[in-house]
Amino acid sequence: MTPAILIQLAVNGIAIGAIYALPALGISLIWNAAGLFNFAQADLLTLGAYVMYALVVSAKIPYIWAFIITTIVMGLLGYLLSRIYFYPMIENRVNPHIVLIGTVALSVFIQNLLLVIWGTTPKSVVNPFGYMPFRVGDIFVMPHVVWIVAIVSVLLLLLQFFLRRTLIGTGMRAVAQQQIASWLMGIRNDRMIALTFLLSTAIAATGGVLISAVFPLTPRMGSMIAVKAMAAVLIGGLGSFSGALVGGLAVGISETIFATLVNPAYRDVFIFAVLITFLIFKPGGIFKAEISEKV
Amino acid sequence: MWRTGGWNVMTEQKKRGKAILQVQDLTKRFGGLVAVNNLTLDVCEGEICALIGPNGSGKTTVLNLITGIYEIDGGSVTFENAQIQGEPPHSICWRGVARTFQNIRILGGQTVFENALLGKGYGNGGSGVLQTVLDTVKFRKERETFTAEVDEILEFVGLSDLRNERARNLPYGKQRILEIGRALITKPRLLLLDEPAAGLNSKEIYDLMELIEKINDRGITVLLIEHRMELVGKLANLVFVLNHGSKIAEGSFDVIKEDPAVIEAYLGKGGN
Amino acid sequence: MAKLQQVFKRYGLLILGILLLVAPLVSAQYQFYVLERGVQNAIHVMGLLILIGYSGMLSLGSAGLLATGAYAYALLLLKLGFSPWLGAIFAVVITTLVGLCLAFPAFRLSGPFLAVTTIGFGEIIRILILNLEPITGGAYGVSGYSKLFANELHVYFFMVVALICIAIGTERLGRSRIGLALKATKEDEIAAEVMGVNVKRAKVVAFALSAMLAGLSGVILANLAGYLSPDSFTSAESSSYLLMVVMGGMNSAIGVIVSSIVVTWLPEVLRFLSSSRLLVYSLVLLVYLRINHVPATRERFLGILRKFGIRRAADAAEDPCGERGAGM
Repeated sequence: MTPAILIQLAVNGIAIGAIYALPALGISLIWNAAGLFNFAQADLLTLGAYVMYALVVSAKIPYIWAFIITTIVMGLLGYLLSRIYFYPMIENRVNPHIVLIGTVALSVFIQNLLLVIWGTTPKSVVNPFGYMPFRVGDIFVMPHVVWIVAIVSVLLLLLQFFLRRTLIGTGMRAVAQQQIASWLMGIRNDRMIALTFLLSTAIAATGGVLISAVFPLTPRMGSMIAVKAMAAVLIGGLGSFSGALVGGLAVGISETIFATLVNPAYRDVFIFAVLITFLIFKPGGIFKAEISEKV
Repeated sequence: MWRTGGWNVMTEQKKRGKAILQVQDLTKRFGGLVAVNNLTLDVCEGEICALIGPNGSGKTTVLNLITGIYEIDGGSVTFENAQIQGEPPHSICWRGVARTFQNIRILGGQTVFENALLGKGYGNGGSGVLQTVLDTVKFRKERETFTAEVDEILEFVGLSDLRNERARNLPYGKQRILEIGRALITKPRLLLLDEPAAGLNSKEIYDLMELIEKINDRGITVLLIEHRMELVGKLANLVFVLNHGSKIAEGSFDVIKEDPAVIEAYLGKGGN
Repeated sequence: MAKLQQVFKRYGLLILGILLLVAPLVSAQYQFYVLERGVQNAIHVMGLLILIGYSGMLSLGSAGLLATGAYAYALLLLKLGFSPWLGAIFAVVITTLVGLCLAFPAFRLSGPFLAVTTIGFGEIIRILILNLEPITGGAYGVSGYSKLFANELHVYFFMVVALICIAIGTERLGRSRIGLALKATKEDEIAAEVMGVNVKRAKVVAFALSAMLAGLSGVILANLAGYLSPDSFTSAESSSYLLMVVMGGMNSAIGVIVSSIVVTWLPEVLRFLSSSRLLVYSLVLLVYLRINHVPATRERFLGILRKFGIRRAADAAEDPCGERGAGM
């Protein structure tokens, strides 16, 4: 094994890792805003991918338009999810265990909905990025890697700008830090949380669109991605923006290397093992300060 | 026991009994913030002591350190001649240290009786899972003694008539009393009360003072954190004043309320 | 009527047991198989009642423990030549030990973090079964092991008796100080510790008991099915068990039995469901959680129930915990 091979694998892993970072980021945003760990985030990504499939392959809508429509539609879905489902529960201070079970149910529901509508046969969406790899030294880079990394980077920069520089973004961060205080300051918590769901779901859907270019879609894909997204968010640090990104890339790269050099069959076992080790020995992840409970 | 009811004012240290709780050079840091700084205090058997100080002076942290909820950064805690720092909270409880919380922490969905029964703990001997599941003779006997003990305490604190009520339906004052009752079930020799009068009206505070007196008459030493100075003045034999995590005064209430350092800490609020 | 209710409250489990014992006499063959699966699920879900309902530790890896029990039984018999009963006992013991490993992460983790760990745990077991083909048969599964009883009816009777005993034990545990310790762990770990509850030990007990019941359920599953494949133990399957324990009220053994059997039966009654079973289960779970836990929606829903004259059901739902006696 040469360093070149390692770099080659890392490059391959970056693309998939960048995609994992998107639902991971969604999980973090929702956790911050609503104290809720959304197990269904990766399934929302899969749903986004299937919507893309329906628009591009079945409805034959041009790729860019389909991309935009998918993101908007999924964002609205996230908004609705919050308004009619999760926010009423949060507002009534339902036991967090119950809301958590709700997100698990949502995850299973989406998976089986996809199964009933599209069946188990893998579906492919055209790869709009082309198949001609270009060479950098000894390393071959597929065009989709560059595109995915570029799109995710732009998306994250926009998101950062939105959260830091706009009034609504500041409001969202305020809700994340101090629900009651921000409510007293006249910020509508329900809207801010719904907006967080909207953003998170739209981001997940973007991840779905990107992944549809690379992998054939199956309804159960959500479970597989959920593992990676949860690993990313927990390794990086739940609630941290950079944590989700770093975690996603770390998971993407390490799983690609593991699958190639060790054994692809045990790829998920490897990720889980790393995840559980992190949870037990470094529960805050890489990017999180320890917060002790107020007694 | 040297104390014979009433609220005698202790002034001379040599008249105190045997120390039940000794806190020596206790230190706790949260990041760069020193929450408790080299705190030393003794609580003697049979006393009612009070720990007072402005908000954020580290009073609750001291309780959390004594009961093992927080890890200690320095110093030692000795209870009945045994060092207890580093032990998990449940074993400190088994040794005879019970406490209540500033923000009431009872099980809302459970009945008053069940909440009190929780004070029997788990893991400290008694029937295990197998005996419980099989409903053995030993388990039944134990259940009878437990029920009797719990009912006795509920009678003692005056909650017998609410025995089967769900705890969340109780008025606030009763919930505080329930928490004290639950602590008594653990058969403590030292009871730590964290702002027991917070949120109570004056009638309830009066009842609370009587209850604390009654508890103390049972031979249970009490260390309480309190902001209500009338309560501290009436109950406490000895008052420790904390500011910024350090002890700034110690003595009878009448003495410390004249202490300039204390008055300064409270910005003149303390003495009257 | 009130008296009848009291009788049912006191002897409910026995009545339910007798009903289950006579059920095979009146049911057709395929209904009987569903009933068997329902009872087998109920044993598994009883463990989840202790773990999730009492102790509040959300486990999504219980399918993995079920698989451990079933495969351990089959493999002990096939590969090591154990006799069925010895194999069954060892399978339950092995599952309990495997489940105990999960208690250790639970010392430090709770809520979603523990849930993620248990998902990982369940998936690791499934992937191992899938990939250790020489031992487990991989995707082809295992079959051809001998069973505990030659007569299928005897398996059923064994199951029902076991279930009722387990249910009685679970109810006793729930009312005892151990049950209280578990419930306190769920609501407020620190308060529980300070009241002298050894929380770690309570968690170990909860995990051990639930793993033991999952193992027993797995052994019975192996006996019912005669064939095991990793597909039956996916983590999505765990959601149907979640549905059973949530619909059962998270607090009562009778509730668990009834909801396990009803949920298992549902796709049989509504034939069109069978291909999309999990879709309906998860939808029911979603709707149930939303209605039951948001007071405004709940009131509206109960109002509709009353309008249609289902008053008793509505009144019963008014107090989900039921008025339990205050004994221990």
